[in-house]
Order: sequence, then structure tokens, then C-alpha cells
Amino acid sequence: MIKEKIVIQNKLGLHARPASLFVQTTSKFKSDVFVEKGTQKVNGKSILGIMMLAAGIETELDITVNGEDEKEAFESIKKLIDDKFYED
Amino acid sequence: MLLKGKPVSPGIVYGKVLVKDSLEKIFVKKTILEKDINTEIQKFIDAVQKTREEMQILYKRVLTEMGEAYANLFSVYVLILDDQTFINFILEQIKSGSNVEFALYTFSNNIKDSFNYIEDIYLKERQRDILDVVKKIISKLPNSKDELESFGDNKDELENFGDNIEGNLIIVANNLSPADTIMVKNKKVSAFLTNVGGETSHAAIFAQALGIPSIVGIKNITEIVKTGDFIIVNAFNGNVITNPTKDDISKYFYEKEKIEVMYQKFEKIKNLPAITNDGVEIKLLANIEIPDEIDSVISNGAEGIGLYRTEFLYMNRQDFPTEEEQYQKYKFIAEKIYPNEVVIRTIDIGGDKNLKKFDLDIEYEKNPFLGLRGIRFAIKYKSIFKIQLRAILRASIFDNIKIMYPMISIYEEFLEANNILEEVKEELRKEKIEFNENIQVGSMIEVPALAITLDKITQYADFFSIGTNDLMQYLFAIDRENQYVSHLYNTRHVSILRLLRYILLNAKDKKVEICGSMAGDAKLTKILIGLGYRHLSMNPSFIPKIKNIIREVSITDCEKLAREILDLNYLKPDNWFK
Repeated sequence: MIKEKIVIQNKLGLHARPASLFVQTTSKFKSDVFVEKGTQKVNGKSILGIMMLAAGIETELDITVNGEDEKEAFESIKKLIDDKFYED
Repeated sequence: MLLKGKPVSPGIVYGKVLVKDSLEKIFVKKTILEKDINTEIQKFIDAVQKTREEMQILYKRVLTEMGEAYANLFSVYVLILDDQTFINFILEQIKSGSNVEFALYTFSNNIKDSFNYIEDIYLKERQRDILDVVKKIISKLPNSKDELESFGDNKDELENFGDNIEGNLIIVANNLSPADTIMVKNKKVSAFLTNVGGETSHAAIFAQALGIPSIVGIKNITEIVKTGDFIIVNAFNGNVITNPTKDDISKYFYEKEKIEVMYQKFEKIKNLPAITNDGVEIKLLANIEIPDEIDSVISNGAEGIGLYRTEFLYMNRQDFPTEEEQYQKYKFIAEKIYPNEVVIRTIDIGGDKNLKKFDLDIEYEKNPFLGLRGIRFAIKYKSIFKIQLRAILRASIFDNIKIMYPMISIYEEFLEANNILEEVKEELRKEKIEFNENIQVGSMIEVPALAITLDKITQYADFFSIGTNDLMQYLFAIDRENQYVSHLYNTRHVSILRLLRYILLNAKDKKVEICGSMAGDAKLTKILIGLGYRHLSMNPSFIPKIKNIIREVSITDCEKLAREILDLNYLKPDNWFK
């Protein structure tokens, strides 16, 4: 299991398009993905969950990845966030 | 409570509200029996599938018309549709005995609640995307469609008031597109009310054409009234009364009767000429959108059709009308109205009348009203235009058909359109297909550039027709759909009236009609005939009222009034009034 903190860096945060990219990425992997913001914990493969997190710029998220391909899954998620969802 | 808006199509109605696009209409919880649970689940799955198909179509269309950035929104919608959290929630609700509509409604409410805690306004707004998807699914459920159709059937409550009210459904919406308006055409709709919209929007024009009383620009009406409420709509003065008292209702019947008496008077003069009391005859003609309106043209005593807007043949469908289909329609109208004339205006697409076609390479336009519309579209898509011209020419063996081009801004465009017409005529001659060789061809005057250079076009055009709505819009630089500036849409302003006089003076001996909303505006009748106009083309339902005015005035008084308004003291009035 991998659990790490990641900070959202794109200007508008996890709105519809980044949320969909996030879900499209996590759904490619077999591992379970959970995302936590404070006390709120959502399924990382649910676009509704991600949108409801309302993670704006500089929000700190705890990402938990658990499963056989957890390493690649985590790397892909981190890259997406670090690349600011190819937005700014 | 009394609400006020702008009346755009006259009438007075007491009826029951249906708020369009409202989730409220299906808020009722019904208990689903164990044995019916699978059926209920299947309804949900089917609706999701239909929504998905629609989203995929929209994705492709938006991708070609507007580009990937816009189209991506539809992939987000599809992801929302497939979201396990969402699907599981709905399935759980249904399994515990809730109907699918109520399950979706509960889900929407949960979404609203969760998003309400979000402070970031932008992210908070994203709940719209989710709610829109849920709304879409609801609209795809089997019983939601007939909601609109069956609504008018419940007459029980109405009978309490002891009158047989014709049609009792009042559609309340934020805004209506021409497509919405035409889609409810055969329903029992007795009035339209909207939050926004200007008095000359195409939705308003449609409502007039269909004879449905309408008021636009009633702030927050969709929030104030609820589906099932009974309200009084007075689309003569723009008043809406919610929660009417017994007094209000008896007053309503009194006013309705008064109006009916007025209409009885109109009935009497229906077949008399529109002639002033000092003997000047005015021709009152009809504007139509669809051939079905021909009955109303005849019953209202129009002396011909001054404007047949053919673009509606092209709307609300996936393909283009064939030459044969168009020919049949043109022929039908020409025959019905014979020997009076019909002016067929060629396709005037663009502006707020979007052509819903997927395969045209039209990019997203930032200013569609200043973009590819009217004759500009026809010249660019010559093949579509030529099919229409062929159909009109074939029908022109009825020698009462005339052609008119829309949105001509410079006379060169008129010549170019005529060249295309000539090509089509040549083809027909070769194929030995009969048509009227002397068919008259006229131009709309809607663009100020053309209005001030009429000397360049009078030698080519056989007649003119002024589209006052667009002319106003382009002359005053106001978006007629924009509620913030629609107060500037003042048809009594000296600017437009001087231009109208100028046009008439410069059209030489060519006939000039007015076919925009001004022609049917009773407050302007005296001014327009005072300016010298003798041909007014309007929504057929306005004709009796306008005729009634004309028969009671003298041309001398009208001219005096026009002179005063034109305020030409600093110019030599003689140049303007010979």
C-alpha cells in the first residue's frame, strides 16, 4: 500500500475536466485508489467523489493506492497532478 | 401577487403552470412493489443508455462545431453517467422500494447539499454538471415525456370555476428557443412565460405565429410559480397574477369578455378593405413560417403573404428538405392564396436560428448576428441554395410567387444571388422544366449599409421589404435578445423613423413593404402610413386590429403626426415630403 501527500497546483483546482482526467487515470489500474481531504475520504475512481472534494489550488490531498499495480498507479497520478493536468 | 413582463403575443388566459426543465414535476415518491423492482431498474438502465447515446452524438457535434475544449464536457458527462457511486446509490434506492424518479431526485438533493459546503465558487458551480446529467436522465424516462402531453387533460380543477376554458397549460421557462417553441406546437399550450428574452426574439415571433399568448422578461418567474399552480396571464398588458383571489378571477372573466367583444368587431370588418376614412387604401399582408398557417392567413383577411420564412423547413431535423418536398410546400401555399401573392424569402439561417446540421464546416461564431447568416450563408452553401431556388422556380408556374433574398448588406450580394438564380433557370430551361420567366425578385432591407445605398440596387430589385427587427438591431447596435439593453429597442425613435422615410424616398418607384414587428404594432400604424407606407406585412392575427385602426383614421392626420415625429425643422421639409 502506498500513502502519500500531494498538493494540487493547477489554478482552478479539481474541476470537471481535471476530475475526469484523474478518474480516467486511476481507472486504468487494478489497484484501489482513495483520496482524502481532511476528514473527507472518497473513491479515487468516482468522478462524483473527486468533484465533491472541491480541491482548489494548494489543497493537500492524501492519496492511498492499494493493489498489485499500485506503484505505476501512484506514479501516473502524481505525474498528472505535477503536470497541473496540462492546464495552466 | 402581481408580476410584470413584456407581452409579446396577445391573449388572456387562466390556466395551470408547467415549469419546464423543472425536477419538481416528478418529486412524488411512489412505493415500488417487490415484483416491480426489476422493471424499475430496467427503466433506469434504459434512460442512462439513451442519455449516453445522446451525449456521444453531442460530443461529436460539438467537437466539429466548436472544438475539443467544448466537446470534453460531454466526456465528463459520460463519466458521471458511469460513476459507480451514482449508479449504486440509485440501485439501492430502487431496491428499497423507491421509484426511479424519486431516487434521482433524492440524489440531486444530496449533491446540492454536499456542494453547498464548498466555499470556492467556481468548484461549487460544478454541481451543475452533475445536476444536468441527472436532469437529462430524467427526461429520458418513459413517463416523463408525456408529462407535457397529458398535462392539459386534467380539467377537474378548472370546472370549479364554472367555465369551459380552452387549453389550460401555461409553460414557464427561463428562456425558450425557437426549437422549444415549435416542439410544443401541437400540445395544449395556452401561454408561454419566460424569465428572460426580448420582445422580438424568434421565440416570441413563433409564439405570435402560433397564436399563443406570451410574456417574456418576468424576473424569476420560474422560481416564483410552481408546476400545478393556477395563474392568470394577461398578455395584452404583461401582467401575471399568481394565487389569484376570487375577485381576480371574476375580473379575468370580465376582461376576457371585453376582449372577445373587441374581436367580434374585428370579425365584422374582416372582409372589408383596409382603407382610411379619406380613401387611401393600405395593403395588409401576412408573415408566415409554416404552411399550416395558411388558414389563419385567410381567416384574418390578409391580402396575400408578404413574407414566407422558409428557414423553418430546415429546422428541427437532421437532414435537408429535398427539392420535391419544398416544391410541394411552395405549390400548396401558392395555390391556396391565389390570385393573391406570396413572397418566398429564401433560407435565412444563422443568428439565433441555428442550422442543426453536423456536416457543414461552420466554426463556432462569436457574434452569430454579425456572422454567416441569410444570403451570406446561401452564397457560401450554394448547393443548398440552388435546391431551394429550383423548388421555388418550379412552383412559380403559379405566377403569384415572388422571390426575396434576406440579409443583403451590399448590392453586389444581390447580383451574386441573382447570378445563382440565373444558373438555376438555365438548368431548368435545358431540362425543359416550366417556370415563370418573369418571376419578380426583391431584397430585404435589414442592414443599414443597404438602406443608405438604395440607388445602387433599385435598377436590379423588383421590390423591397424592410425587416424592422434586424434593421433596428443593426441601426442601434443592440442585441434584441439582451434584457439589459432591450429598453433601447425603441421603434418610435426618430432615428429609425427617419431611416424609414429615407428608404421610401430613395426606392424610386419600387414597392416597399414593411414586414418586421413594427408593421403589426398598433401603436405605430398611424406613423407608418403617415410616413408613406402602403404595404404592411405582419403576423396574421394582428391584421384585424390594424385594419380597425386604419379604417378610423385620415391620411392627413397620419402625415401630420409623422412630420412632427420626424422633427425635420432644420432640414427643408419639402425634400422629405413632396
